[in-house]
Amino acid sequence: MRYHFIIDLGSPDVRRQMEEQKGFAERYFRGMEEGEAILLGTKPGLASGLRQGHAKEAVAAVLEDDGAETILKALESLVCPEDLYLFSGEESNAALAVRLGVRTGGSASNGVHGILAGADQKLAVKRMMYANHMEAVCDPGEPPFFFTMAKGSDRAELTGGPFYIQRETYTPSAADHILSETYWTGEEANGLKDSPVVVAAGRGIGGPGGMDILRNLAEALGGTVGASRPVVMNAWAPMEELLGVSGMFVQPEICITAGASGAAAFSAGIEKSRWITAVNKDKEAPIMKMADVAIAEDYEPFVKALERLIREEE
Amino acid sequence: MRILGCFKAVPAFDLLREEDWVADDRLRVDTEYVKLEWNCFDEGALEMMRKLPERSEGTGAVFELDALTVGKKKADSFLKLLYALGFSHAVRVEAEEGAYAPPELVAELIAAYVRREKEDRAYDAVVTGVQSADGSHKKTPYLLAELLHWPCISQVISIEPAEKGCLKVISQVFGGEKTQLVRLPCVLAVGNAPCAYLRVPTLKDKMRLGNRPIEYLAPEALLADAAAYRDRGEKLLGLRPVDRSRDTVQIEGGSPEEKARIYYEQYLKGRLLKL
Repeated sequence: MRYHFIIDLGSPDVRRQMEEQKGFAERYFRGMEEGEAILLGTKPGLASGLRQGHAKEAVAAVLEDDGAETILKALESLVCPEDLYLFSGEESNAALAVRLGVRTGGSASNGVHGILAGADQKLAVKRMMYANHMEAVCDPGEPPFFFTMAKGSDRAELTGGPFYIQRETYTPSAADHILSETYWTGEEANGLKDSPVVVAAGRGIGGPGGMDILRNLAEALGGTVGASRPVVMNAWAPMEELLGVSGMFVQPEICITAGASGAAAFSAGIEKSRWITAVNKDKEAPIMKMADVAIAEDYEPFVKALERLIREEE
Repeated sequence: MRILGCFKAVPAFDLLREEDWVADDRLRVDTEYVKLEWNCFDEGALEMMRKLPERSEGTGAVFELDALTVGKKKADSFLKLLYALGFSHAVRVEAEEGAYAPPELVAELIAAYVRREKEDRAYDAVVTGVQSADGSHKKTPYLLAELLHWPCISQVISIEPAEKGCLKVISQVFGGEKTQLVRLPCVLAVGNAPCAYLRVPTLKDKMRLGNRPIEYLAPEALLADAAAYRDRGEKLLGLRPVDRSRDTVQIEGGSPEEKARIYYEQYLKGRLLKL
């Protein structure tokens, strides 16, 4: 069995995705033969701008459009029946993995954060279940395998040179159902993903006014704000600031949560933070146990006092 | 236009205590005693559907909205609520007591139901959430698309009426949003929709519409070999709770201002200086 990376070169975050895929392969694919990466994009010569790749060899799959149906058509023809294909953790990749599994008679697993090889050389995948409360080990089924990685996987530095492009394929559009389309490119959420300090809001902040208080603290700290799903769904914070299973996974040096109970789906998004502080009125809230420092207190007077202290030092 | 919304009512997992997270001999966690809630992505999908008739006022477009769940009797209250919100037809495919319905089975059942409706009663779209909280497989809408041989759009955040036989679909893509005019049929997998909560029906609508009969179907009524699909897909080999605890220091006593001072001086300041 060989492993192959599949990567969309049209993604604005392509380097991070390659680093995460490489980190995953170094950890879990030791002893497995590296196959050619499959590079997806809409422009001929699509890999020419890349100085470094995360595999030695690659196939450039040029697509007439970047819709899922066209990507699937391109990938179907490139799959080897015994091999393993790894997608990054971007949400849209789950659809590609599952549908390729059906089309090729293989198997898909999404949100994979580890791989075990059994004594019989059969693979088993580790992924989360029960809203991130439980870790499952699963037999994925029969090859070819299509796995999407869990978000926030550990990265490895790209050390090699550019890809050696073995061949280039071209796939005409399979998106007959799309009559027109427009893109809107959003701004990346205030640098949340790479911020060294994150102030994370939970439902307990009580309303949009609470977000203002936390934004002031984040500004004083030189950090950024994130929010749990209930906060975003109540429109107290924009979608770009969503943390957790359905949003962003962050790994800041310092993470301060306020009014978050510690629901597993939220906690998963901040658990890789180096140092966590939890501020919550409820001493028994689950978040208090996963913090390095816990403060059982109403967040508002505490946060305002903390902000004053920081600004006084300035 | 006829649209089927598929949803799951899932246990409110965050109500379980830490000690309740224990896998039994069958590698299942007992959640039977926990109240059910909407699977969050499905709730957004249903609210999105519910808005379509309002958004098409004055255009002449007519939307017929149906809802289907594969679940136990406890899910009936969710279907009744959808009736009260104006859904035309509610279906519950009976889930076997004590058995987990994998996405491979759920997708086959939904596909069989969709195929049952033909010609002028055929569905134009199926709308459902991208994943459910319990299995977290992220598979059902995509398996369904393959079974129906329909295209699929994932990470949908908005659906709007459009010209005949089409919908305007907005989906989240990495770094932005894509707005597409989509010719139906299509499977729409709803992600982080901004309006994720279903509205609450009025008491009048609950009384007037909420008690309409739910269609009950045994899995075998849709799929003769339904039992064979229970073992499809990923096989669970192990299940364990996740320990996220750290060696926590509690800052006790005093006013919020005193706690803030202790926290800043003794814990935070040094770390900020190192950044």
